[in-house]
Amino acid sequence: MSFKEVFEQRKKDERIVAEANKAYAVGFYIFLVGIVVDLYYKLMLFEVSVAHDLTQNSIYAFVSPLEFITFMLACIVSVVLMVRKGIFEIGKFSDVEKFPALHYAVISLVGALGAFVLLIGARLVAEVQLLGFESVSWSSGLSSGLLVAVFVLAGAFAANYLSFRVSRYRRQQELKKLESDE
Amino acid sequence: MGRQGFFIERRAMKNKRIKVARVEADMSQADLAEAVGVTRQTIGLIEAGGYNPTLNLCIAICKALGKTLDELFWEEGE
Repeated sequence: MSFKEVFEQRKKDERIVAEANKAYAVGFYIFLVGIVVDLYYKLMLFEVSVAHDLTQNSIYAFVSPLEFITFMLACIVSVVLMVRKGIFEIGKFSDVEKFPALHYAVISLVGALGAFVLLIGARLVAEVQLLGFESVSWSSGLSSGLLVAVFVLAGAFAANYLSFRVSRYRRQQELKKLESDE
Repeated sequence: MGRQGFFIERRAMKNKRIKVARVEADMSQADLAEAVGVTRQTIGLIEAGGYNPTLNLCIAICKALGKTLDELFWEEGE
């Protein structure tokens, strides 16, 4: 095989590209869930260490922001790439003109509940790991969980609304451009 | 949303006309695949109804086989 042949690009089979993209999407969601769980767990280990003054010589005394930044970057870049093309979602609201507020309020609520359960679970594991089962503080977990749930509820709804507004604007711009080209 | 919901893809219709036209043109699946820039597996799946090609690929197949879109892809009864 010649040097040129090694780097030569042949035309891509559209079906293979489509199937590979589906596979990448599955991998992306596995990563997403895994990283969220890991971030929550590390944050709870850090919080419990600080709350119970266990930070001396503790490996949990510092939480690197790199993982969080990478996670946020992956999410934001994915959304921006879609929104720039005027894509809000791939389902039944992909080309609506009015924001489906009730639908996304429910989605945000489900997300908030998930965050609440995840945080309590992560805190429980962290406290059992560092302090033992008898020292688990349910009130701390519940209050932290509620705070995060409220933040997730508001943040998810706001993020979806913003994505909707920007994607609708881009879609309208694209349509205007297509109409002026006719 | 019905049975053809988000998680269930609509199955492509088996396309015997492509196979007939391909045989008439004395082309194998591999020959047709190479002519239109896809893999042999993709041509096989299109003929068997396992994949819905895009319009671009449909046009490329028509050109390679010397047929029209109606002749190869129009579904009877529509």
